[in-house]
Amino acid sequence: MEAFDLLMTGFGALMEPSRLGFMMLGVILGLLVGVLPGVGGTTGVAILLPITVFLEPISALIMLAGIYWGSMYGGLITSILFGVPGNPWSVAVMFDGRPLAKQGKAGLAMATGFWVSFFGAIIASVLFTFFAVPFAEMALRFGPPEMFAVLMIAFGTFIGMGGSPGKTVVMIAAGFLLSTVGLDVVTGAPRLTFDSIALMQGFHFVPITIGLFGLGEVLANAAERYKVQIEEVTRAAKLGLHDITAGARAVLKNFWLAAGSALLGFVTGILPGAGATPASFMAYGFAQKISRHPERFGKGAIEGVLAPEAANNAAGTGAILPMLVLGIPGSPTAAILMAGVFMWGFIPGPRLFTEQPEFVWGFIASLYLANLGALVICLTATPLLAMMLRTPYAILAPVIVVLCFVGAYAIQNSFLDIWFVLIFGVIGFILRRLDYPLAPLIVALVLGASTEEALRQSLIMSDGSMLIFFQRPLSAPIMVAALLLFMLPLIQMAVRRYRRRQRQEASAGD
Amino acid sequence: MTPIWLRTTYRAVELGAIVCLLVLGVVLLSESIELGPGWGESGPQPGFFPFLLTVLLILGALGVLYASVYRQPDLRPFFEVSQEITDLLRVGIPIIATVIVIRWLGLYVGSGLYLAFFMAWYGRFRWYQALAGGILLPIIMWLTLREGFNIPMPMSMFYRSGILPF
Repeated sequence: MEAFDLLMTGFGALMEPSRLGFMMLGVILGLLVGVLPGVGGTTGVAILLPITVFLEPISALIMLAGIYWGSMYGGLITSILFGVPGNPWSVAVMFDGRPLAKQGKAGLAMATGFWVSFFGAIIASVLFTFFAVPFAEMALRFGPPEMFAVLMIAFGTFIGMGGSPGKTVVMIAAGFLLSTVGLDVVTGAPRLTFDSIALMQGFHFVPITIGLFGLGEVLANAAERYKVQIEEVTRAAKLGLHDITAGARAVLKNFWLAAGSALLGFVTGILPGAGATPASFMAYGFAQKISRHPERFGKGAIEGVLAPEAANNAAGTGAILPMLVLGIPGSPTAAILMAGVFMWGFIPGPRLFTEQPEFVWGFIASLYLANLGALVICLTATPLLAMMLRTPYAILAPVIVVLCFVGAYAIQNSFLDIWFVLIFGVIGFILRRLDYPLAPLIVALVLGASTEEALRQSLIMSDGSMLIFFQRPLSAPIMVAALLLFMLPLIQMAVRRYRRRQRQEASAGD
Repeated sequence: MTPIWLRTTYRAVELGAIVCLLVLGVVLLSESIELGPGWGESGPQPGFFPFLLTVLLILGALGVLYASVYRQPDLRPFFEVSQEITDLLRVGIPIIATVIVIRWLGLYVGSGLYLAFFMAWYGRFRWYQALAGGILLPIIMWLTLREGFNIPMPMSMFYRSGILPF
């Protein structure tokens, strides 16, 4: 019951009006960001990060995390009403949410989505509460080789679970290379600066994130504007009391599906590198597989809304766990939150739990309250949120662009960073169009220094032998798992070849 | 005859991106070899990590080259209709112009001008609506950034000489 007592301390820390206020402010901003096209949760968190330096750390963390949770709820609204997912993790919910909306059941679909998001998030929060301490205790025994092995798991997951493995490798390498620009931490030698003094301080990841995600998305939306027409569907965004109760009943009726999806989501979320998007797709496939009517999926099955929503909210919560415990974020948003934790003067890792219990447990307690707040706002104010979508593009786009510049400049008061936003915005647009995954680049950029440090320290320990990763009892299994993840695309390719040959031989034998 | 920008395929753009990556790879490779890619007296030399990564970058790029240029080329046009390009330029060029304007006139004036211009030109708002937007945005930003959080923002060239407060 130790976790329970600690959780109560956390609630105690939260019971300050200003902290609750910042938490709710974060949730509301997140909902707006989730609903508005052109800004995702990642951009929202990145833009507001510089401002949080002026807040006390607990308020800062729960406000930024609130944006993350809020955007998860908000993305649901646009996915169901317009078929325009505001975030990548809201794509799966569209498959059945959009058909439901076309049948005039948008209210039911949204209410169910909100309830199940809340349900999934609460299950994940409970798991988080009880797993955090054992996890941290295990992590305390980690040395550099173990850290490096876990980091490799993160990047292995990107490669094993992403789309094109070649593109993922390129993005990971690019992220790491960007992180090495500047002065070398160990020897102090300038690296990859090409004799430019401006590059000596290195790339800060905030302007790059804002460029790739924020401005890149504005440009991508601009090019696709001729396709999307936001019709007068905004009027359909009404949630009656009837929808709310029917949604709650749908969740209770599919209780085990929702609970299973949440568990699946949480586990996927903990896996560094996986995050909410694959979790939502996996849960959708899982729901279809165990359904008695798989043919109804894609035509408006309520289970198709339930499963991905439960999973992605649970995964979002789960992704924070390795960030706090190990300092390894599971998603780009978690990576930005982690950078925030550094900026507020703390070091993420197992020691955080013993040295800053109020900070950690205040955050864990905020998981429960923030989700409750988001649910209440969504159930009561959805029409208001959908109204935001009517904001004319000619006002919305410039405001987003200006906010991108403000966020990038504020981080280190350098005008160069505004140029970086512009440059990486254009790069982000092209990469997005060519289906290069952006998340691995951001995670690699944030983790670059610690990965290099772990690798160097391990190699110094072993005097240059790579075998050290396989000789220690803790790091060996982790490293083997990571290598398997790296090989996954190759293994899949070999299996496919083998099957094809067998089929050919079978048909040749006839 | 369709113009060249509508005939450019995904494969062509993909190829262009790979060429850029490979050029970058060669530059970085020579740079990290100069830094020392091997084992020094007290551990890995500074170029060790960048060298490893550049090799990874090049291998990845070659993998993409094989998969999406040779093996499964995507021959759809990169831009389907010319509307896409005009929309992109109409949104993109004012953004670039804004960055240049901010350099001289500061963030507050620059963003106000940008919003007013974009509302009037792209959104076809009436001139007084655009003007109101262009004045309101800097005021709101001033109140939150300057008065609220005291975060410094890029100021105009008149700020340092003391002519203007922003």
